[in-house]
Amino acid sequence: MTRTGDLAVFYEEWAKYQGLLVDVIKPLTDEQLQLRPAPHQWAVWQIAGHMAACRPWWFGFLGEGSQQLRDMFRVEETTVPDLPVEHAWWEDNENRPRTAKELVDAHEKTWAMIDGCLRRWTPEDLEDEFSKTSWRTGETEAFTRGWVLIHLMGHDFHHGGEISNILGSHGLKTIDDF
Amino acid sequence: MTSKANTTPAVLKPFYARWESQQENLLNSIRPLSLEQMQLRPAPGEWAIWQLCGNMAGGRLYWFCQMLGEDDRGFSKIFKVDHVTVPGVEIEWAGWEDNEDQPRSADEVIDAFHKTWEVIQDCLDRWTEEDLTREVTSTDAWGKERTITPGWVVSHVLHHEIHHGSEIALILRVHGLPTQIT
Repeated sequence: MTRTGDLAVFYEEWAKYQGLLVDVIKPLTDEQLQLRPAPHQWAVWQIAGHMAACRPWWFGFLGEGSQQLRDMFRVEETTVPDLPVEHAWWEDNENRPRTAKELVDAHEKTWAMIDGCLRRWTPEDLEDEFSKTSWRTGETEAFTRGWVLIHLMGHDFHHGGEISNILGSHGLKTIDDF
Repeated sequence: MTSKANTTPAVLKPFYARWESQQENLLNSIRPLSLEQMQLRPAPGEWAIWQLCGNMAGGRLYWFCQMLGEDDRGFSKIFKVDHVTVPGVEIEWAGWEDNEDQPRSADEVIDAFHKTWEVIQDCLDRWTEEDLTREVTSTDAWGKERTITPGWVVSHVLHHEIHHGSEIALILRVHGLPTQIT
């Protein structure tokens, strides 16, 4: 149960989607995780890794989630030109593709963090303001807990649709119940 | 943007705003597409852009009007097709996407999104907190009785559109076409 009143139904839909996503990723081989729609586009493992990594990154600005969870997505090197390694995540190192087991673990751990917050936060909590400063531009951006939730929810459905599209193109199971 | 009535629960306003901007970005990406580009698809067995759009727009009326009983303003008939090319789909429940013989143009799709948005906007402006949790039982397209709430429908249809919108964005990017869908 969530304590966020009218928003509970949105979170239930998000939780269901998270479950469907994990179900389609779990059986994928390393080769299938390397599928991508075009050479210049992310592979399935990169999209799934990016989705999971964004969660503790955003929640960190709200004072939530552990440093250990954020560090989980760090890489030793990056294959993205001009991206400092301290700002790189799994998807930025093409030399180290992630397995289904790693991706499922990452999604389950980061979802547990979100779920814990949803159970604790009240509608009033969603209005509290926070901020972050971009390492790229130096600009400071203000946002609320509620905004972060909407943003991450949309982010998950957006990238989940991409994964579903790639898998469907190769005759693999998609997030078809949705 | 139509102004929201005071009945709209404050906590939901950002979700509704997100939905409206999502639709705007989608339509801006679709508008310049030729009929040929509307037929781009990720693989032969997968839906083309026009089919994804048709399913998104038609899905709105299915959930809001057929399942919740809201007024469709006469728009449901727009999505009717005279035959289907997809095996197993009954004509009564078929939408644009089920008739591959008649691909839809960007103009048709945009008009469908605008019309169905009117239906949604009216509900979002009118529904109170109590309305959103009111249980409605109806028979779905598969003949199964389902109990849902308007709140669930809002969440489901919004996320359905983000999910399919990203598929459209991916098809466009793969073909080097611009997209505002994020």
